[in-house]
Order: sequence, then C-alpha cells, then structure tokens
Amino acid sequence: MLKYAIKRILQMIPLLIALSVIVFFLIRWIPGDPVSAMLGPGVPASNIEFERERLGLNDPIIVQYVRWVRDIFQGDLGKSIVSKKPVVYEISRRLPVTLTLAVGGTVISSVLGVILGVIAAMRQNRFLDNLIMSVSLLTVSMPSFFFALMLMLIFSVQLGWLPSIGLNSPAHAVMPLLALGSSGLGFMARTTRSAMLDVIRQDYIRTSRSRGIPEKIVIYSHALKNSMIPIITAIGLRFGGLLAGSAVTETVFSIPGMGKFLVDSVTKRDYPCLQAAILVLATIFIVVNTIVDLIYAAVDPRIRYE
Amino acid sequence: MIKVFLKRFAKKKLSVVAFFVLMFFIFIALFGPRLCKYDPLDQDLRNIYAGISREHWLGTDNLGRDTLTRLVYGARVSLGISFSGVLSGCMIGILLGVCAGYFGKWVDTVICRLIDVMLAFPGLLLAIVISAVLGNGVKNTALAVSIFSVPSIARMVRSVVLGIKNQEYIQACQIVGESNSRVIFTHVIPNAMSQIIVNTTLNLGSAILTASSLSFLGMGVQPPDPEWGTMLNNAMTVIRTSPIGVVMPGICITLVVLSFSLLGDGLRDALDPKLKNV
Repeated sequence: MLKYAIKRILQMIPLLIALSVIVFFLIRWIPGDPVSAMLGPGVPASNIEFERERLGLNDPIIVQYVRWVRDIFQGDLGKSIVSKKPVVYEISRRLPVTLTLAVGGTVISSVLGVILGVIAAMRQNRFLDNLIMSVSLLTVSMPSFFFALMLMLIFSVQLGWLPSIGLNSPAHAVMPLLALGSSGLGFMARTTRSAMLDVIRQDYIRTSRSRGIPEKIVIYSHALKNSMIPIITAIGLRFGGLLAGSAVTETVFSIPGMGKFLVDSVTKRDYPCLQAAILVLATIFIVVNTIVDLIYAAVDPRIRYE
Repeated sequence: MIKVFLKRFAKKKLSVVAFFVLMFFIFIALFGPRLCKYDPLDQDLRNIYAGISREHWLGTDNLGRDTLTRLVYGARVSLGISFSGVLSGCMIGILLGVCAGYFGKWVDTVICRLIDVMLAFPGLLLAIVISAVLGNGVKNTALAVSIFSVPSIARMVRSVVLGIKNQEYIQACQIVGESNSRVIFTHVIPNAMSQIIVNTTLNLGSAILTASSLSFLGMGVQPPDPEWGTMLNNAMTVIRTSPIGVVMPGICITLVVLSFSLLGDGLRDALDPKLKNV
C-alpha cells in the first residue's frame, strides 16, 4: 500500500507542473496590460515602463516563470492590484469558508444521495424509484443559481425564516449548504443506483441471499461495499464541482469565499488574484483526486497490484 | 432500421415529450422574434417592473423591457450558443478521441495528458478560466462552451474507439490495405456514432447550464443582450418585489436542460446495440 501511495503521489508532480505552466501563460494571454490596469488611467508612459521594469515584466518569459514558481514555494503569490494586500492574505481569509461549504455540501449530497440511490435500486422500476429518479433528474437539470434563488425566494422572502445574504451565523449557512448539496444529490443518487443494480445481479449476491443471510446485511455490507468504487469517484468529482460551483453559490448569497473572489478577480481584472485563485482551486482538486485514488486502493486491494 | 429506432424511442413517453418540448423551444428561437410585438432592447422607463397584464404577459424588467419578448430572443441566444458551441466542440473532441484511440502509442499519450490537464480544472472553473482569457460576449461564450466540451467528448470517443479498434472487421480492413483515414471515416466513426449522438445530446443540456452560469456571473453574454442567465442576474436584485423576472428564465433553462437529458436517455435506450435484441 505504501509503495502504491508513494507512486500515486509522485504522479501528481507532472500534472501540477503542467497546471502551473498553463495558469502562468493563460494570464499573459488575457488582452490588456496588467500594469496600466494596476496604475489606473492617465499615468504617463514612462511611469508604466518604470513599473514594468520594477516588477520584472520586461525579463524573458522563462525567467519570469521560474521566479513566479520560486515565489510560490516561498509562500508569496504577489499583491492584489485592487486591495494592494498580499494575495496569500486574501486567500487565507476566504479559503476556509469555501472549503467548509464544499465539504458540508459534499457530505450532505453523498449521504442523502447514497441512501436515496440504494432505496431506488431496491425498488427498481416501482413508484419510489421513479420518484427518486425524477427528483434527481430535476436537481441535475436545474441551474444551481436558480435553485439558490428559489430557496431565497421561499425561505427568506416569503417565509422570512432564514437570512438571505452573508455568512455571520449558522442560520446563514443553511441555504448555501442546501444549494450546494442539492446539485450533487441527483448525481450521487443516480450513480449509486446504477452501481448497486450492477452489483445486485452478481452471483455472490444471489449466493448470499440463498444462504439465508438477512436482506439488510446483503444490501448494506455486501452490495453497497462492492458498489463503492463508482460512488467514491462520484464523491471526488462532486467535491471538485462544488469548489468551482462555489463561484455561483457565493455570488448569490454574497458570501466572501474563494468562488466570489475568483469572479471578482475576473471582473476587476485583478491578475495576481485570478492566477492564485485558479491555481489554488485546481491544486485542491488534483490533491482530492489523488486521495480518491488512494481510497480506491484501500477499499479494493486489486487496484494496488495492477 | 429507422422504423425499429422510432418504435423503440416511442416506448419512452417522457423522451418523446422532451423531444416536442425541445422542438417548441427551437421553433421559438427560430421564428419567435417575428411573433413578438416589442423589441427586446426597447426601454419604457415609465413602465418598469410592471406586473402581468394584457400588454405585457410576463411583466417588464428594470428598464421597462417586455420580459416575454426578452425570453423569446433569449431562446435564440441560449440555444444558439449551446448548439454552435457543442457541435464545434464535438468535432474537435471526436477528432482527438479517434486519433488517440485509433493510433495509440505517443499520440494517445499526448492527447490523454492534454485531456487530463483540462479536466484538472473542475467543472465550471474550466469555463471560467477560458472565458477570463477570451473575454465576454456571445461569440466568446460559445467558444468557451466549445472548448469546455472538448475533453469529456474526446475521452468518451477514445474509449469507444478502443473497443471498436480490436474488432475483427477493422483488422480485416487493415489487412486488405485500406488507408487509415478510410478505415476511420467509413468504419470506426459510423460504429461509434450512436454513442456520440447520445453524448452530444446530453452535452447540449450541460452547455446551456454552463453558458447561463457564465452569463449569470457576468462573464458570458453581456447586457443588454437577452440571454436567460443574464436576465436572471439582472432580476436577482429585485427578487423581493418582482420575482417573476427570476422565475421565468430559470424555468426556461431548467426545462430545456431537462429535455436534453430525457432526450439523451431515450436516444441511448433506442440506439444502444446492447439492448437491441432484448
């Protein structure tokens, strides 16, 4: 297991290098000069040139890239053009918020989704199955911002039960969590259902049943355990989806997290922040995917030997 | 062949309904603007946030523009972005997927790494990154949707082609000396077609979600152009006083995405060769 883990962790390195190269060059493709954006309009050309020289933007691009990577390893992601504060500071304030919401949303959608998926698989093609699958399809098809706004319309505007914007108390987190959870719920339920249906047809399940093992044990400890691989994959994907989806949810509920930070950085053309936000979110996703792969190996020993 | 397909497709009632819902929206997108009394950009500042009335069936927005008219023109923009984006993305995705699956070796490695890197940006983040680089507007949103749909289609086509490549009929063609391009275009792609069609249909739905999310975040279609996501964003601030401006575009998006999913499911059941003899 340790050998497999080390191998899998080392495989992350080329992907992370590729990611850093892409993020670095993408930002330089964006039309418009970051220095003139930073200094604002009406600044003489000589000042812009001086600033470019000072920031090292006139150096060869490879030199800039190496310097950028070196700075990242020293915990320096540059300064925000808008707030003039270090990007690391901006991110450290926002990342915990988004991670909490993403983890919460993933937990809600995974637990409920797996339970609903198992129920649907057990009642295949009957009323409950059709109901669960219809609801899942609806949550998958509904844009998350529309669902979030409908929650807001019902629970804050009509009923007045929950506060609509900000994130100052646990009550504030209810709607964002519901919104984030719902988008994954349908996906998880569908994945679980089809994985369970595949497993239930296997011989060993029939054998267990014919041996008189109680149905509950057959379902939960034999069938569900063997459906875990696609389910874990789906959870990993969902977590990544929620990290990116936070852009939408945080915008709707005015939550100061990474998603809103990302959106604001794009609209305000704050390149250092944009670069850092993309890098951080994508890195977390790559790390989560690696963890998912390690969990596979722990759940299914066959994978380690392939 | 077509008869068998239609018969099997007709069994899925919901998919048939979805097909007609989509036809309706496509009809609206093509001909709707001719039926509209108002211009989607015409402002009527004395008549803002009007409720439902005979003149304005779905009320008006913050600048007194007719909501129904904007929805109709929005169908053209949203569906247009989705179709043009996904179809062009599909072409590139199929090309990459077929090359990776058919030629294997270093071609496969290069293309797979490319796909891996693109998919390292989870979900919407990829679309946001692309649109940040390209900029706003209808054309760039379609381009973002197009690039966004490339990696998933390429990966799907690759795995289908890997399955087809080792079939005996393909080997027979190669032994007879048919050129690679002939084998690919006359044997490989036609045999992968049913899965490509199903996935493209499902992708059309997710493309609408992506495009409207981008527009909602202010990175896609820009106001005053009517697009469903943009309209929702515009109406969001007044959700307390005039919720209809939020509800209607939201329902349109949901309905279209839902229909594409149901249609895709129906097509899969009707086209999937594994189910053919059941």
